[in-house]
Parts: sequence; C-alpha cells; structure tokens
Amino acid sequence: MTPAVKLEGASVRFTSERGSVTALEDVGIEIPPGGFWSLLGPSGCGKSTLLRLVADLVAPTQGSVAVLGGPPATARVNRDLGFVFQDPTLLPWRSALENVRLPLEVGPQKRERSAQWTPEGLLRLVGLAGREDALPHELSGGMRQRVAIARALVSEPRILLMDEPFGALDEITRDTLNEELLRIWRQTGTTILFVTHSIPEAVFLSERVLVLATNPGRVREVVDCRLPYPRPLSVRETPEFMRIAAHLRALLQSC
Amino acid sequence: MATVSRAATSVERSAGAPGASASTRGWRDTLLPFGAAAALLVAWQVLAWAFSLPIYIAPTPAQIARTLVAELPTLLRNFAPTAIESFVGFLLGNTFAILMAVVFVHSKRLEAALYPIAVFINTIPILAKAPILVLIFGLGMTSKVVIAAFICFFPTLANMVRGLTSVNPQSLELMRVLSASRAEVFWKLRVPSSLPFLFSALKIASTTSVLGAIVGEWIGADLGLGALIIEATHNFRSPLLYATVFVASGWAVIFFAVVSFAERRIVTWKPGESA
Repeated sequence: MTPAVKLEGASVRFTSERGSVTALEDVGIEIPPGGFWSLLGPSGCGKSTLLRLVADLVAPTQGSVAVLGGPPATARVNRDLGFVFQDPTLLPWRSALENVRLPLEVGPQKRERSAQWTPEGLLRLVGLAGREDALPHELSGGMRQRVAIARALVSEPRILLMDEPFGALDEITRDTLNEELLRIWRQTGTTILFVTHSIPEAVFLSERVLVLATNPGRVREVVDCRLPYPRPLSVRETPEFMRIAAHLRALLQSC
Repeated sequence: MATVSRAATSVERSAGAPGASASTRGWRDTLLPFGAAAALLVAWQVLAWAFSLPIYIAPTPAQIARTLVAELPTLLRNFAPTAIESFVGFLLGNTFAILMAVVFVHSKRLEAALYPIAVFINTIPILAKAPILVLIFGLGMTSKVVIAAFICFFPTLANMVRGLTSVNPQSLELMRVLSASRAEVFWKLRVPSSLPFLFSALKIASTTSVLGAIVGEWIGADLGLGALIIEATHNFRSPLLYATVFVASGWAVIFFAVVSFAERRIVTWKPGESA
C-alpha cells in the first residue's frame, strides 16, 4: 500500500543575510493511510516546517517528500490535503457556512467530489448546526476553530494537516474538540498529521507520536500509543497512558 | 459639519450595544449634537442683537434663514454645477486611485517608479494646483472636475494600497493550500480585506471633493457655489455668503452621510480582526 506521506532524507535549510538555519535534517518517516500521527517537540524543532513540507508550503533543500506516492504539489492541486492553522484564519466577511464553502469556490478542482460531506453537513458534524449564518466575530474561539476544521474537511482530503489547532483554546474546549476530532477521524478515515506541544494531547489522540529534537530539527524517536479506540477522556487516568506520557516527557527533556 | 460626523460615529458605537437602555442612549447621543447646534444658533442670534453688529460683518441666523428662502432660486442655480463637479470628480478621482492601487499591488516596479511622484503632486497645495489645472482645462466645468478628482486621488490611493497589501499572511497560505489562482486571491481575499480601508478614504473624499470644486470655482467660474461665495463677499452680501456656505456644507454632509450609510451596509464585519 502506498504510504500517505513518505519522507526520505528530507532536510530544510532557511538562508537569510545573517546565515543559514537548518530547520530539519535528514528526516525519514513513512505514515500509512488512515493513520493518526502527532508531531511533538520543543519550539524550534521544525514540527511546523515538517507539516509545511507535506503541504507544499515549503520545499526540501535535500531529500524527497512524497504525498500519496506523488509530489506534494500534485496532492495540493488534487485537493488531497486539508490544512488547519493555529489561528482559525476565517475570512471575517464570510459567514460560517460561506467560510466552509471557500475551498469549493477556488482552485482548479472547484466542484464537490462525491458530496459525501456537504458544507451544511460538516457544520453539523462539528456541532455548529444553526450557526451557519453567523459571522466569525459572532463566534467564540472554539467555534471558529470548528469552522476551520469543517472547511479543511469540505474537499474531502485524504490527509488532514493540523498545526497546533487547539493551542490557543482553553482546556475544556480543547478536551471537547480533541474528542470530536477522534470521532471525525474515525468517521472519515482521513490520515491526520497533528502538530502539538502538549504531551497529553499527543498521547490521547494519536496512534503514534513522532518526537522531534531541536538544533537541528531531527527525529528523536517514534513512540507507539497502544491504547484502544474509542478513547474516552478518562483514558488519561490509566497507567498505560501515564507510562507513555512519562516516557515522552523524559524524551523531551533530553532533546 | 464636525457635529454631524460626530453624530454618525455615535450611531455606529451604539449600534453594536444590545438592550433597550443602549438604544435610548443611542437616540440621546444622536440628538445631542442637534441640541448643541441649536443652542449655538440661539447664542449667536442673542449676541448679534445685544451688540447690534452690522449685517455685513455678522448676519444673524434669522437673516441668513430669510436669505436662504428668498435667494433659493439663485442658490439652486449655483448649487447644480458644484454638485455635479464634486460628484463626477469624486467618481473619477477615486476610480483612478483604485485602479492605480491595483496596478501598484501587482507591480512593485511601477509602484517604486510612480508612488513618489504621486506623493510629490500631493504635497502641492490645492490652491497652487488649481490655477495650473484651470489654465490646462479651461474655465468650464472640466477644470473643476479635475481639481475635485485630484483632491480625492491621493488619500484613496494610499489607503487602497495599504488595504490590498495588508492581507493576513496566514490567509494567503490558506489560499495557497487551496491552490487558488492569483485572480481568486485578488477577488476573494484582497478586495474584501481592502474595503474598510477604501471606505475610510471615500469618507474623506466625499467632503474634500466639494472643497475641490469650490476652490476650482474661485479661480474662475460664472456659476457655482464657489463663484457665488466670491461674488457675495465682494458685494458685502454677508447673509448670501453665509447661506451659500450653508448650502455647500449641507451638500458635503449629505455626501458624507450617503458614503457612511453604504459603508455600514457593506462592511458588516469587524475590520482589523484576524479571525
């Protein structure tokens, strides 16, 4: 089976007048389709850069990146990628529904694919039924992020890239959205690549956690989270959860 | 005029606040400047009586009101060209400014070449520009339209360039992930983001275009509020002068109010918020 994402010896170096910085060095990973992987690491370890590499927002200076067996640009143009930023990045003049529709209105692949997910249905899926006509400034931070998730899902991407999507939210909202994200993942079968700097969030959500070390950004270890799905929030009190979390914490401290 | 623009902002401020008490407060805020203006008029009338000022120095509000009625045909005959000049100048100057801003956003080289020239022309006072433009475009309405257009041009150009370029960088990344074309980014992202900036400029232009038309008429015109101001001043017809000024301000205020109304209908979101 073709891996959803495959990196081989991928390095990214940013060059400016003041010299060059190696954001990622010699990263090799293979993510199977339908997987839920988290990228965990201290700030500056290149986890966002790795996500941007897959999204074709950054090009590797060395090595190769393959998305669904082809170049990232092809996956982007084919609408196989959905991206959720840390800020919801909604267009403030568009209602919630119009924001979700945006991916269907731009780009070379405008039309809806199989209409499995309609914009209205997606807003229902993320728990925003009845708020279709609300403008972003009329919604709370958590609601805006839900709209952003619905928007990323509307083109039915095979890979969903999430860059600290819940980082700016309070803990209760974050817990709710974590549970909802797992539900959406299980319903859609999308491959998810999730950047976070929260250990509990990474363990709760993912099948595997990719721990990155800093200076230069590189893969430290890939940790399996052997906890059965569906995972209720109470899974966080189990010994296995705590064992994985402790292991990750120890890894991060030695990064 | 200042009182009315304040009234407009207080309406905006109260529009967002919910509840009945807020809406009554809104009404009070709207009526307040009218009350203040009425009080000033009464004070003026009383002071003019008390010091028995001669009519050619300071006519009383009552005398001005009488002139306004008696000279209405003259005022309207002179109002028409000024209204047309300022309106056409407004359309022309702003359209040209918007088009130029679009060109600047797409070509950094053209911006680097032309923007300093635009700044330079803008630094020439309108009173110095006006005679030059009258020499070029003649004594007819064309020269006044051009002067009004000139006065609108720069604020709109500067605001529009800023509006079109001040797009949230993350929104641009989003558009790239969506493989949006340049035209789609322009129409779906840059143009809507620029609207709040555009309307700030249009509100300025709505009043300055009237100013431009009047200044143009001072340099030389048979008809128009500017010509009437000169004529009334030279003939010591102070009540007519004041009445003309009143009509000119009234037109500028209506113009401003229409643009503000359009802004409230179109810009329904909260600008400057990176949602």
